[in-house]
Amino acid sequence: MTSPSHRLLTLWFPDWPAECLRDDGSALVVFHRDRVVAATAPARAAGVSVGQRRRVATARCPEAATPARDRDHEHQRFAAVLDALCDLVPGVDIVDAGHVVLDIKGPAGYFGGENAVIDHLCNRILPGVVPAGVSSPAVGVGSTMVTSAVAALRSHRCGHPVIEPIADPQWRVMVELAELIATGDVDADAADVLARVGVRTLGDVATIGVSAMSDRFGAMGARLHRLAVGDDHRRPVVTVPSEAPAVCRWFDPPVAETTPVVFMARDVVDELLSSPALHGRVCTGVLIEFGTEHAEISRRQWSHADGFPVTALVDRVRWQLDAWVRRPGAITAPIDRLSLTVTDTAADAGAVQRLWGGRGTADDDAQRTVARLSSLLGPDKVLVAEWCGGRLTGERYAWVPATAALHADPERDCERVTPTDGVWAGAVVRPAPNTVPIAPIPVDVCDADGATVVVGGRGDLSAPPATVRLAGREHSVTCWAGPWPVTERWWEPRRRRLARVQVVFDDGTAHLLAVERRRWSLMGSYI
Amino acid sequence: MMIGAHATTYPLSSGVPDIAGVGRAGDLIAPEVFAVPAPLKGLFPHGGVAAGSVVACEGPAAWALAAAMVAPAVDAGAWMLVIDVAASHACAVEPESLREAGVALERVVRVVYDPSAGAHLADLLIAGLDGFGVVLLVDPGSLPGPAERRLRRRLADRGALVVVVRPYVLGRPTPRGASTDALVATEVIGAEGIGTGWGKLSHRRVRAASSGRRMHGVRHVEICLPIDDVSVDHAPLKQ
Repeated sequence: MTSPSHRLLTLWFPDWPAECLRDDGSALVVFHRDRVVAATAPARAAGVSVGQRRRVATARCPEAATPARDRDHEHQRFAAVLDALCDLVPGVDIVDAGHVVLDIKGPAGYFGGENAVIDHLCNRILPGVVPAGVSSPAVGVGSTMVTSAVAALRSHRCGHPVIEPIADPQWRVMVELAELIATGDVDADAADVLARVGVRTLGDVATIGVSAMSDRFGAMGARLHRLAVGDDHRRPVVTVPSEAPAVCRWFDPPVAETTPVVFMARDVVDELLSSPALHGRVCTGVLIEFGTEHAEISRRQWSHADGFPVTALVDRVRWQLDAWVRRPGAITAPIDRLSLTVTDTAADAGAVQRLWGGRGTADDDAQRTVARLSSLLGPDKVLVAEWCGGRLTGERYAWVPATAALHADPERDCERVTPTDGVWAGAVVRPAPNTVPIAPIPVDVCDADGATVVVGGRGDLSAPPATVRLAGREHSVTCWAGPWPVTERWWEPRRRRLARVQVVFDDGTAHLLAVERRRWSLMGSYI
Repeated sequence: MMIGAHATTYPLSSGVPDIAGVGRAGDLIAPEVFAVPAPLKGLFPHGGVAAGSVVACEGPAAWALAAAMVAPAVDAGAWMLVIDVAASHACAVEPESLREAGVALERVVRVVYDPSAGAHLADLLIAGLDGFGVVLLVDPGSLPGPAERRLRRRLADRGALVVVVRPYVLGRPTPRGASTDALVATEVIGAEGIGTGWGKLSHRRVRAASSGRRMHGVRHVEICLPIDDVSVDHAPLKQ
């Protein structure tokens, strides 16, 4: 059981991924796998909410900018907040950029109560370090990690801090499973099944019994039952037990650049996560520590509810290192030490090899190689495909950094690339061109008389295309089809109106061409 | 024959049961092969691409053929690395076409390689072969001798497959590129579904010819790309 003396404060900036990008107050929505993960206040006011599909969100707030999610930038901007929090409290657990958990038992005694800590934090500490344009954080206090997270969720809804009363188990048992979906402690399918049989709160789960929950829902059910009875031992650590699995690497000679450190980190992470000391469990909490020749130390605790895959942990090392070296005056000598210590583990429910499908050694090898290639070339050069949806070739899939998008779980990787919203009206589908130009390639499409072919207002061609001039060479057209006009974002000033034509050249290659504002360009090639 | 002790994480076919007709002493032990879709089986003497080899595709259907060739291996669990050399061409592989060819897109990783950034392509390839069973890239041209020998050793150790696609420009001879074990040349003999002003391109009829070391002559097949059914035919190869 968690000691009642622990009081955990969750500080959560729900829209950090969007609000840290711009401070001009414009509407902005950030998507991940075609779903909204964060939006600025103007976008939320227009009806955008987390979890919405891209199509719904862009229809509700058409003027919103939709930049790609940039986790490096999120952590870079959050570094100043972290520094300030770590100066105030020794135990800070970083869940993600914009989401931390603090153990405030000590500070509460010093400042004269939990309300005083919250007041000091929100009115004195944060205003100086939070970037302009970021809205006030949600603040929740609880005795365990899960009640603290639920309190923060309720704080986000009601607009003021929410505190779980000390020694009041009723507060915990009345927590609804629907709230735990938002905090990531239960998946939506399991919560739906439980709700249909009348189990809606943690109190209801506690009455079922651990064996019944384990039988029906496996490791997740057992974990949910533990949360229901208050057996949640997760908390920020201040002193790491000496027997905790750890790997320490000394640099001799010390290194003055970050790249070799990150490269070495991959080996350290590999060694740590494959350590027999983990007893087949996954690492859900880790303490990363760097040291320099001048005894300067950077120490951060990170947590990941599903267990850290190699790439995710290497990312944490990189984010912490980048933030440390960017902090003025923080580091005055080369780095001579990197150590990783496991602070928390969980049952490895997802890594068991299954009879059909599932994670195998090929997946592990690939994960390790991706981490290594990312260290060699930079994370923005190692990419995986992610479904975005759309009408135009080259837009339906985006290439995103593998370190952020690749998971250890094959099912989640399948979700990443599986089309979620069917075929968009107006899309030219199957077969897709094999290659698409990285930058627009202009072409000249001419009729038999040498005049440029134009598409009329009714979507008809002025004359059949006879020749196409591509990359300085003229090709004869043997077959062609189209045009297929499409209007993108017709409701806003950035609208595009274009028409697409397929052509087959005399050498057998086929190409998808587009004409927009009377200019032809290559959209893709079937080669 | 044990080729690629580390590569057994993805299924390889152990040659073919019926090797009659292959007719050379060196082939009495059939090599480990990567299975290919049934229509492409006739291109390779053992019914699939030999593990640890480099295969080049060229011609007007090179990308489509390369994608079809690697699809069964990736579908069976191997990971594929696609290397885009930023300076050598201005096009990127379209993920949707890989998916249509039957490639399991969730196991595809793309690397954008910039020669001016410092890292050597051979080092990148060798690092990639540690974790990827299939590597697909635009023909980088010939590699320096020592780099190629290191690459060959690693390729043989891992039992992986490297597929290079030679850039195609109408009217220009295909430049001599990387040293390969097999070359599959493509020629488009017709387009289906599309006419003059009507329809939509559905398939291209392609004549493919394979040749090279240990290929025992030139082999021809006629196929439609993209291949609708990429299932692997495990029946013995009729020679």
